[in-house]
Amino acid sequence: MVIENEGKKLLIIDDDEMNREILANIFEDVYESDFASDGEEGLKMIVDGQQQYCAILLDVMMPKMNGITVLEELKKDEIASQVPIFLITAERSNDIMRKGYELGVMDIIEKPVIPYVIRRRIMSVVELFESRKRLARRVEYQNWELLEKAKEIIALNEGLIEALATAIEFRDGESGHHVKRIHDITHCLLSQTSLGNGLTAKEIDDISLASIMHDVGKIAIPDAILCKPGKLTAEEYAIMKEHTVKGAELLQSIPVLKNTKVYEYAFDIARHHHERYDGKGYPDGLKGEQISLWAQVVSLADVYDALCSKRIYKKAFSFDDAVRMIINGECGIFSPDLLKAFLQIEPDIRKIYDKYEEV
Amino acid sequence: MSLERLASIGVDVDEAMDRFMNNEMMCIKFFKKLLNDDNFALLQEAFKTYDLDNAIAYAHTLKGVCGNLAIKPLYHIFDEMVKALRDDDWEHAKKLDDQAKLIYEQLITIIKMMA
Repeated sequence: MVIENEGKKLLIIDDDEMNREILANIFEDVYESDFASDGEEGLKMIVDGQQQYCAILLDVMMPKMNGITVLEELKKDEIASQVPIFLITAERSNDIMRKGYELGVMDIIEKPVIPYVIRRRIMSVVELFESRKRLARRVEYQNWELLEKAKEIIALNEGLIEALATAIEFRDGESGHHVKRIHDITHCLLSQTSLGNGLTAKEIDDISLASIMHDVGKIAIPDAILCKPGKLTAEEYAIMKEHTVKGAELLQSIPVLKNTKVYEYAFDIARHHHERYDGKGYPDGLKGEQISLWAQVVSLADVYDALCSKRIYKKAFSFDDAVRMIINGECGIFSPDLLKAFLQIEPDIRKIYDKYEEV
Repeated sequence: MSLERLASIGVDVDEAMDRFMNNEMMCIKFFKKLLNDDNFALLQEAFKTYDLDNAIAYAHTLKGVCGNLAIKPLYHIFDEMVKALRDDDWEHAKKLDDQAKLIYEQLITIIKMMA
């Protein structure tokens, strides 16, 4: 067995010089030694923590502070669990042995010491403590690695979701910033206003991520309709409206996604972001609070962003015009609470547009 | 100087050398230190003044010294003396001290001759 002992130090606490020298001499080839000649001095050396000891060899009968009192003091700081402590004693009384073990000593070694016995007993325990520490460090490192990997995977997932949504946006001639803004507006409305009361930060993050996928169903809409510059015919409009149902179906068909919390929000948002508070929306004609909070929020974010952006069939409205049109119910009907929260935070939402400048 | 002579009063020289990891210099150094060690004199003083606490303390120290140096007869005497004093058996302790004196004197004589 090869033991790496470099820099390992014993602390020998004994009032008798011969005892200290005998112990140090026994371990000379494996450990260096520090000395204390009474309990008080020894305790100070341990507690001040300047030197980490691989083991503490403690005499019992000493002036100033005896070994048992030292143990009692150390017990308060739970030092015995970090450093193995050995009682080296000529006292073979049951009392002292019981007390010593109760106070956390690793072993009790009788004086006069027998070198090969004390070597074996102390070195085994030191090695045990060291390997336990190594193992703990290893586990800690592995935990950190796992956490880093998990973060990477989450970032990759979010990246893929965004890539998919952006690809779809590109098809109908938008810049790709639309989905990012929907994400940010949704996050802003839920985290900065009372709308998000009762939702955790994680839930708000999940909803915001899900909002990115609100229009994935557009992938199933033919170019001729999706990219048509002019007004859609009634028949074309009926097909266009199917992007809600198709989107939900698409999300439903991705098995990996289905096991996640994001999926539940994404499914709901994709299917219901064109519902109206007055029940005149599509595809299900849900009314009032039948529509989930997140579907309502994304719906408003989508309308606001559509108004403020240039589209193939329209120019961009000013922020003020967009707000006015929404308040006047020109672009759908929203819940009074949602509108109130929106008006309150709308100045902040405008700042999101500085972040993603249109190309 | 040789440690062999010490065997004549019952010192287990091999055990003592083992304890010092065969470092003879160190072993001799601690035998010689006994020449200036006042624990035995202080123990006699404690017996004279019936100072039980100090008698226990000095007997305990001497037991430790004799144990380390493998001075077997003295080690056993001091071991028993500590027990007797703790049991407050002053009479028995005193008898043990008389035995100790004889051996201790011989021990000091031999160490002096070794020098």
